[in-house]
Amino acid sequence: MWMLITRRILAAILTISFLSLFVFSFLYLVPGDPAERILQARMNGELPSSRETVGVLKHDMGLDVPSYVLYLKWTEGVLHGDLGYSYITRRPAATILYESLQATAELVFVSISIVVIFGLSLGMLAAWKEDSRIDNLLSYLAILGVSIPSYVIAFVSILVFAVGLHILPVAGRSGMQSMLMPAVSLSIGGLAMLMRMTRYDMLAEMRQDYVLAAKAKGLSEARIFIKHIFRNSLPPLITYIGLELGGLFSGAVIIENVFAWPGIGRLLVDSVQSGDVPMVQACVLLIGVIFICINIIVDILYTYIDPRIKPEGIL
Amino acid sequence: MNYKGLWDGSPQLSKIASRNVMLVQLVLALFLGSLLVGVCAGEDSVLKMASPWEPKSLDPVVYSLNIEIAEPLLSVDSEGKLSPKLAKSWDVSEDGLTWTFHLRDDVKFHDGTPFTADAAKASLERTFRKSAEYSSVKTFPIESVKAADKYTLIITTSRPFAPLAGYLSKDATDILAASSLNDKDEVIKPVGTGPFKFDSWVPKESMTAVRFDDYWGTKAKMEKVIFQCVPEEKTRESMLRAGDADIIGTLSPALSLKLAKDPDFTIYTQKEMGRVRHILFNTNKQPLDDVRVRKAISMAVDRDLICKSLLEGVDETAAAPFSPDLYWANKNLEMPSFDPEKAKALLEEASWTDTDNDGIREKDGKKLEIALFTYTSRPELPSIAEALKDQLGKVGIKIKITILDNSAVMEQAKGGKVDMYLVSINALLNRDPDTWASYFTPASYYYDCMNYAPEDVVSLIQKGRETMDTEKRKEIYDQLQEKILEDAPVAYLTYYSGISATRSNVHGYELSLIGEHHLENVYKE
Repeated sequence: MWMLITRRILAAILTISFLSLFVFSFLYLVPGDPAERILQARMNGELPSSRETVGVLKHDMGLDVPSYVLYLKWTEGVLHGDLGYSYITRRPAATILYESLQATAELVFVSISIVVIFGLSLGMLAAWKEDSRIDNLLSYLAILGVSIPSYVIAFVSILVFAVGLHILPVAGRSGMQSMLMPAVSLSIGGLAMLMRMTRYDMLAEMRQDYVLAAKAKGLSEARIFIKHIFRNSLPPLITYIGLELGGLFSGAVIIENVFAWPGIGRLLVDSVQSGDVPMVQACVLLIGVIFICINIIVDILYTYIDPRIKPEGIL
Repeated sequence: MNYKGLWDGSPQLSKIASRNVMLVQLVLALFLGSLLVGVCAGEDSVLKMASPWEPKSLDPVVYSLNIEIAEPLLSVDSEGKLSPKLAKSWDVSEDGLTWTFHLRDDVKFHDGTPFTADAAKASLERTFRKSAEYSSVKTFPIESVKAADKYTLIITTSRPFAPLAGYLSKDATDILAASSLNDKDEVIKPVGTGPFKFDSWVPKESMTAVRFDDYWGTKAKMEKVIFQCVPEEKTRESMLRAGDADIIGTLSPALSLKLAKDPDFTIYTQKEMGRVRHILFNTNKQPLDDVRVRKAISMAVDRDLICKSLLEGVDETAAAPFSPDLYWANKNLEMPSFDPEKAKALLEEASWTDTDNDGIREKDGKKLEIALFTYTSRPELPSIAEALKDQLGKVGIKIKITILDNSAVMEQAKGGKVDMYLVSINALLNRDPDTWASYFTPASYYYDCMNYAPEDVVSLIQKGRETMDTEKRKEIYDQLQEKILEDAPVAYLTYYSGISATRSNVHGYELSLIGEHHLENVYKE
């Protein structure tokens, strides 16, 4: 187990270094001068007026050195636990990241809970009542849920619940009510998919011989359903939930913009647009670390749920 | 994983009727209903405002606070001329090196300390020190800031520099009390002199301010103001409709038209001082090195049509840098008007003729093709570029549009690849016509796009910077505007108006010339 985790973490470090190098070079390879973009962002989108100011800024910010030197400096900082300062606001990148991460983590946590609770239970219900009316209804809904883009759900729910019924705030982050619409819009797609996969996996398990054996042993149907069928269909579902968790972080970009949710997705988009390299690097680093942690946790859960899977087998 | 047949047993899509959308809503409603905790209620003494503006920092030097917490020494009047604010009056010495500001003696900071010349000195010194990193201030010839007595502030410069005063009306020069800062010279809490007192800030989210009861001017009517940062326009609209916001800022012309039809809302439109959309011409490259071609282009553009169709009739057409209602506008200029026939004649005169009848003019076997660049951070520009392409096509000019990030365009310009650059620039950004004039100097950021800095223009610009008397300066800038109109290194197209909307129970709101939301007189019914 520890071997697995160590190897995973080593691989993760390599992945993140490549990722950060890629993002860094991307920001420097796009045509145009980063200093000009930063100046524009600092001036609230206004274009600079004299060349002198661009030169002054470049020098003041230490941007007048080759880009690989900048990258090495940044890496050195990160290794010392220093993510640098935002070019635009001059606040520490780590502080800004922390503020945004809290908001996103809240949103993603509630969303994934909705996905897991409703996805699994409705999927089980559909499998239990295969081909019944309720199963058909859930199929309809699953197709809709998967095919309607999250921002459509977001805007429709704003119109209905905030503008029409006045029971929820339109946007912002002020307590539980303000969380509902963003979390639900974010989770509908994943929920529908998970529901469908749960149904599929469980139906496949139901046709296994051991189910018949268990029935022959006289176990109750509910017990077989939960204890055996459900448990055996879990591993692929957990993989999916892990992937979905990562997907929620990226899906949050759109939802955070619609609902003015001050999270990491919005921060990343803002920073890329304004050429705020230290902020982009910090966001990418963080998202990379989150993804890798999720993967490691999924792998560990795997071996826990299904002891037949050996850790070595995964790598 | 093999999920072949994952959707087997699902009803066919063709059977899914629109009523099923309602089913989704029903399920959503169940989720939401079960989790619902309470209902939010609005209060009459709290004003909620949503705009895409994001408070990125509490330091006005870094980022405009956009809320009336702190005030600078000067302000601008309805004509865009400088007017008193924290300074009652100001004068400049004969040699133009010493500026004396006579400060108000009835002003208190939010922490109760009096506003004095010493406080102003400390704050301004910090501004000059800090803004060096951020803006053109580093190139200002400021020598010293002194407090002559309790209410007299003196700024000396190493050479006469008239644009200084305009800068002292900008947010970056807001006067903050010493208690705003921590020991690292960072603003931890902006303590100013404005009608509203800073209360709290949640980065990327909101800023809250409360009424300052000891304000020197008209005291605010609302007790509390909450600014929310909402990047998505559609969401801002919904907030207004739902009553989650009383005022929403930075709207598109299309949305303002839509809201104007609804009696529940009031629309406020205000031309932003100095902002003008225009084309920069590369004056040292064929075909635009010929002033007749540049003028022909200016005449071939139907500005009215652009304003009416693309900009929904909200913005006004422009032929000069400053709109006629501004002090700095030269009202005696004869502006170019839409005249495609005259444009064609001018092109013929410059021997650009369509010899092969393909609709594009030629000269010495070269087609009249022009590379037009623009950028997207102002979303209306690419569609204006399309309109220009269409309109110029009608007089036989072929336009090739390239849309890039501004800094990428500038790189292309250095390689001489930019013939025309469509921009939206605030020509009075530093509240002084020198902002506009300095585009026509070799130090200009746009020099590579225009290659236009004739000696007589540059010396006029220099003279403008060194002349202290406002009326004499006005004459200089009048002359410059005439010269620019004659040489046509730029073609002005339209001005820009900021648009806000309020719920109709909100009164007393004012969107200022410089894009500030004046909330001190706002009250709700």
